[in-house]
Amino acid sequence: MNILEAEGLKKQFGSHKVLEDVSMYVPEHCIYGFLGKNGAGKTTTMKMILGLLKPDEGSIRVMQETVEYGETKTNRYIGYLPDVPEFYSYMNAEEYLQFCGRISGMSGGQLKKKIKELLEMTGLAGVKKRTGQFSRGMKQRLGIAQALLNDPKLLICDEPTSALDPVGRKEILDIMAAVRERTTVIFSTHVLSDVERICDRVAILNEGRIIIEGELEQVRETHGTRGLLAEFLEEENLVRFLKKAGLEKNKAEITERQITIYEEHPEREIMRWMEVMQEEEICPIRLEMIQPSLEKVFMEAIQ
Amino acid sequence: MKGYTAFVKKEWIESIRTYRFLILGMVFLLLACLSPISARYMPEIIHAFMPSGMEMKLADPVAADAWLQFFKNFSQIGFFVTVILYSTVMSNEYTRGTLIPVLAKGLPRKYVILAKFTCACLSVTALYLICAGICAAYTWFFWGEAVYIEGVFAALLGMWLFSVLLLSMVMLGSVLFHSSYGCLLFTGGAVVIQMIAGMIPKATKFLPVGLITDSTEILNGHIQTGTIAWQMGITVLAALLLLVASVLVFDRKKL
Repeated sequence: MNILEAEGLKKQFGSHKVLEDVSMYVPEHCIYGFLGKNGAGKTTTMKMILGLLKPDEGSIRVMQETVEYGETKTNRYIGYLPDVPEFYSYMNAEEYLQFCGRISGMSGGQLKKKIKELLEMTGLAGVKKRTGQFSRGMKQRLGIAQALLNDPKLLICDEPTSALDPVGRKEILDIMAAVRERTTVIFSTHVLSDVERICDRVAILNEGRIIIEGELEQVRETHGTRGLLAEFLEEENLVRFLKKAGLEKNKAEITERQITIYEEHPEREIMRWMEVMQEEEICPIRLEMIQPSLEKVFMEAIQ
Repeated sequence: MKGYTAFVKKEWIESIRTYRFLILGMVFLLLACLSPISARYMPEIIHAFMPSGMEMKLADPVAADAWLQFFKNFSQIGFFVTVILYSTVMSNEYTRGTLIPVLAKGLPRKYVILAKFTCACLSVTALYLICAGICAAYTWFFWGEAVYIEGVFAALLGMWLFSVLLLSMVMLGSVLFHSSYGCLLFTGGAVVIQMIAGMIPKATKFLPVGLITDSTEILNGHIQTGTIAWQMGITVLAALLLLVASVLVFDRKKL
């Protein structure tokens, strides 16, 4: 079952078209990476899913229920972590979670237990200072805790790792990976390594349209130029190979003993390389066809 | 309903921890204490500052003067401070984005407005009642038994109703405009327009602002009961309409 279905979303702010035609289908229990440049419309799409912005056209369904602008009924299925989560600075983490829990209709022992569990999971247990004194990373962690409070079916995170240091980033990604069994996660980002690390599916949003969508592996296979890699035992062999194969250095990524080239027809090229190696009696220690990195897919897609 | 009570509680914690309630309370208490004291000692104070040799005949202060001072101080300084303190009630939430996670939890938007209004009304009402009690106590202390003045309850009720109306204006101003300045201009403008309209004699009867500008006449019983009833009725109706309008506007507000 699809937990989220959005069809034909359009949105214009004044004369600026933000979304031209966005459709997305998110199946249950996956981590869905929502990619796009800054200003591509990721936050706008997410706010529409939450009923905080009205689409000019199109419809959104969460758990088969239609999202109505201004109404927030479907939000009972959703946990949301804004890009820069801001909390009431005069409350501490526990007080804030209690407040959020009561808003979600929770109370008593069930709420207390859940708060304890989430504070421990996010490493905020025992932190007594008020949220106004929290670091960016602590705010993100509290943001995730409040988003997970009502055991949401869908967790929406808006660029959760963008402004964090490597330690903070790892903590957030670990938490997201840990909750995937219980909930579906959509997270928008432009940090592609994060997506490669934890996502099952990706969608790339560019100029108001989703230009690529699918499983991460499948996207890598079907989009973006594949590459060839050859590695030699000695540098001299590499130099000789480059010369005989007539490869231009500026089109390749060359390290000390290794060459990588991205080609539209890598099968044909690898056969040629093998012929050259046989003729010249140069034996590589590694020769392989490589999948394009997500970065390559992304860069090619948005050009 | 749980969401509403949770939000009222949050508003209460906010007004305590951000010192809003404390500042309002101190200003109100100061005004409540100063009103009877200044009324009682005004002739002495004026006398002390008069140039020597100059004489000015002043009537002896009476209990009604204490209440006159009370109404004057509250309608001017008291309400001014109230409006300023509550003008940030929504703008802080907009600029910091603190409402987004809360609304994303499924809290109906109307509860935000209603809870903020409830908390503001309860705070102002509680402080106002305490202050009226303090003024009454001082008046009794200074003038003995002459506490009861015919129109005092009508005037107190009228001023309280106007304070509720002011808070509902602040709510609508806060949802219409993103900044607190917009809210202040809206509320100030609404009061000034009423004052200008009050120059037309026939309109006075229907203007809520009469409840504070004419408090002297109400206190002395110089205003017809019918006029006060009209003003009070319209004030209640206007406050309700403003509150409904705030809820409707906020429902459609882009956040």
